[in-house]
Amino acid sequence: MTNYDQIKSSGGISEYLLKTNGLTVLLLEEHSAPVVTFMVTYLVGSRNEALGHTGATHLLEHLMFKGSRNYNKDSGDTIWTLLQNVGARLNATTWLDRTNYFELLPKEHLESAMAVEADRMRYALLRDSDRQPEMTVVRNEFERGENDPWESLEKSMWATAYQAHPYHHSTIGWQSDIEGVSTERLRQFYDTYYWPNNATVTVIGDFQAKQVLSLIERHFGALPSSPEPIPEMYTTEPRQQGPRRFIIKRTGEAGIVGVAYKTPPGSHPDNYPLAVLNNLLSSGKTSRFYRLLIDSGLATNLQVANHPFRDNGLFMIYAFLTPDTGHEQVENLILETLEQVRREGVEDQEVARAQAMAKAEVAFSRDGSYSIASALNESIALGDWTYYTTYLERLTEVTATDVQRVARLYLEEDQSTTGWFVPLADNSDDGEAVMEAAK
Amino acid sequence: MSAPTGLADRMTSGEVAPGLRLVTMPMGVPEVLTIYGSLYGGEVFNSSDNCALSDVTAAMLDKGTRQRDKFAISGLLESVGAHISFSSDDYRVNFSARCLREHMPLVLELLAEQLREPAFEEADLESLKKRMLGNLLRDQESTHEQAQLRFSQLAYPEGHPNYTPPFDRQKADVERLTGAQLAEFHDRYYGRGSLLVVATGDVDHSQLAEALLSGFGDWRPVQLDLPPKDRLRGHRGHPAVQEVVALPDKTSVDLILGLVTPIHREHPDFLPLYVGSYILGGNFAARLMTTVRDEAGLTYGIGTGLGGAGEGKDAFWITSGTFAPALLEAGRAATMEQITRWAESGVTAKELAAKKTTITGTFQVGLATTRGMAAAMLDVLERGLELDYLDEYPQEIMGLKLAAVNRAISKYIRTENLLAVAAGSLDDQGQPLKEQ
Repeated sequence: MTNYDQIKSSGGISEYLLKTNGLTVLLLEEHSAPVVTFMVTYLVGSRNEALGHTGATHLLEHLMFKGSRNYNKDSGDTIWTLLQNVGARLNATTWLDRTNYFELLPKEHLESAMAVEADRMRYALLRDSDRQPEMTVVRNEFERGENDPWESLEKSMWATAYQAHPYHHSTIGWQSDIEGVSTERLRQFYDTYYWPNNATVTVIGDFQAKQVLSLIERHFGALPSSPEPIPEMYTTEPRQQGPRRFIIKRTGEAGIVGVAYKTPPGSHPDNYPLAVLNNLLSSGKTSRFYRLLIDSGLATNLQVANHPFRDNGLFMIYAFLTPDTGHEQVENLILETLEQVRREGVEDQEVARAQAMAKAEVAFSRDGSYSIASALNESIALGDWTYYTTYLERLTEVTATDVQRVARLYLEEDQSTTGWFVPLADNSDDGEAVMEAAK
Repeated sequence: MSAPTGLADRMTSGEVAPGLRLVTMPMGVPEVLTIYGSLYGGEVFNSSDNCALSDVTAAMLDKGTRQRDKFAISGLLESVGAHISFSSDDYRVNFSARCLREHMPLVLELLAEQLREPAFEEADLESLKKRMLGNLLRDQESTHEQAQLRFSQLAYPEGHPNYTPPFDRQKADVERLTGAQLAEFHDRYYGRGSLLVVATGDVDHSQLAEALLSGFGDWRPVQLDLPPKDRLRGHRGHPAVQEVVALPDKTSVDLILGLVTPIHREHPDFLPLYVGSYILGGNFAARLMTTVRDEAGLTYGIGTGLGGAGEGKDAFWITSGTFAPALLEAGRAATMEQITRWAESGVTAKELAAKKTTITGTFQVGLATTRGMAAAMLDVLERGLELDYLDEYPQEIMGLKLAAVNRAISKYIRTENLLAVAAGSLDDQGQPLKEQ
């Protein structure tokens, strides 16, 4: 493997760098089933967009399935037909920091997936005649999302919490940008970010490393690295100076309360105690929010998330209200619970429980090559793939004192954003509260 | 492709006690144990005056037992990162558990306790009812759920397992349930007799069998009568119907085009029709996604499939997609063009060959996780088939003849009988509401 530098290994995963073009390669042999997951992660997401072309990363991801030099309708082998005809599960996803393309397929077809991904890394067709129908496809994806009150609430949550930083807009973008962005702009995006030195190839499953490295070199080795350095996104969010609040009112049946707080970048060590805090607040029936909101019949469901992103993120708490439950009542209970953690801290037993649950979840996440790839993908996106392999060890070091400290540091009122979804048909006694909040 | 032969040879199967069958399959995932199982006790056993009985009974299983309250049980599970969950469908109560291998005895002990001795505390029931009513309200504002519900009502008579009652009926039935009714339902229907358990991953068959015997060996035997065959018929040969479910403030419409077939899952025409339908709308490379989405750009998602076919029920054939209200007419026309061409002319040998490898390859990929394998094993057992079927299924798909596929399409898909339901911000003519 003279054309590779071996960079490091962690948790059974080995990292290589293809010398010819700077492509990063991660390999994990896992022989429990005769299948392989092949994935290419590009470090480009909606954080790399600006007004006028929000949603471009995602729309470009769609166009990447419309054909490349060797795989297109004219050649008789479209990407979908070639790979789905051998039973591959394939798709792509775009999020704030990254775009990934993946294939989960019988191991004997691994090279087909490599050939497709190498071809479209630099030779995607990106024709205007393809963008026009795909724009309406993506617009319908946007419309489907808007049908869901929670999706609308979540978009507004980020848009309210982040004003300068591009996490302000959702990955799917604003509707008028989806409709208006030009093919030329999408190609410019492609030519800026789709290069081997901005990509990580991940292979997980039933293969032999030496053989796969050779195949990767054969398919990707001749691609050039980017002629210009990959541009850095340099916008930072100014410090928030006070709580923010918004309300979405729409015809509907059930209310939602959301409360979110700014968190540090994903690489920051405080994310581990924040993960423990998330767990003890919301995971399982013994968690604090379950007892307070679900068991009491005030909420049907809870969603608490603090995904680690490349830049600052959000610790988000959403409660989906039961009929006749007031928004204000649930919001106050959420705030009182957080205040109690800040004031009194948490029990060692709660931390130990969160750590035991994490240990099992990490083992469960190793069940299947795609499951591993999916988790690894998010670690690649935040800038350090070993986040995945070292996560459990770092989480195990968290103490109750750490949890109280991060609750005090990050879950403070001036860094909060609160949003309500208020169904217009709601007959609960929220009317005054809605007006009060709106003031 | 390396065919997934010999799967059944790697499984161990046995009757742990009368009416309790266990099948295990070791897989190379260290420490992880996945358990799936089911028993009869689903919706078909509901009394005629309450459609929510079976669902609520199953949903109360994890809310405490006569020995321990829900927090004590959850505390034990969460302290080792294990999960147990319950659900119910039209025929069965389903359960699943996931844990590290070393915690199997604890998980089995709690699983048995929850299934056998639920407390049905009134306070927990009242809390659960509020949550279920909230979830029903959310379904009520969903274009997808509204379209599915209305289609089920057009395709099947009330009382059929595939029929979904109106939301108001569902809500009313949830509201008036009592703990005593749930306990009576549980006493009557839950027990050994139809209990199936499969386990995959880091599993030792004999240890698991021993734990199951300890947990369920002395559970009461139950022999249940399944619904008569005439209750499994849909509205065969129904006339074409077009309906709109109007929901304000929705930016996307869910459209369903479908019909009832007289065939069930074990009918010899089922697989030919399944594969034929897959060619029309089974995946991205199928006709509908290629034309209505990829070429015309009218939808984000559209697909075709067969469903509701288990236990001898008349299956439904369905094509469903989403469209902007202003593009609904064009979307419907483009979809109908494809359905009509497919129904009248059938599929080609090339398409059939491609989809055979798609389906068998997808099947192989799906068996690569402990959950995928467990689900496939349980499905085979619930259908009353031998485990060898997991090895035979790919051969069965590969052996399908073009003539059989086209004959099935021609025989069962009559475009003049299509039921059409559109749910979204539409007027009663299916036109976008003015505020759109």
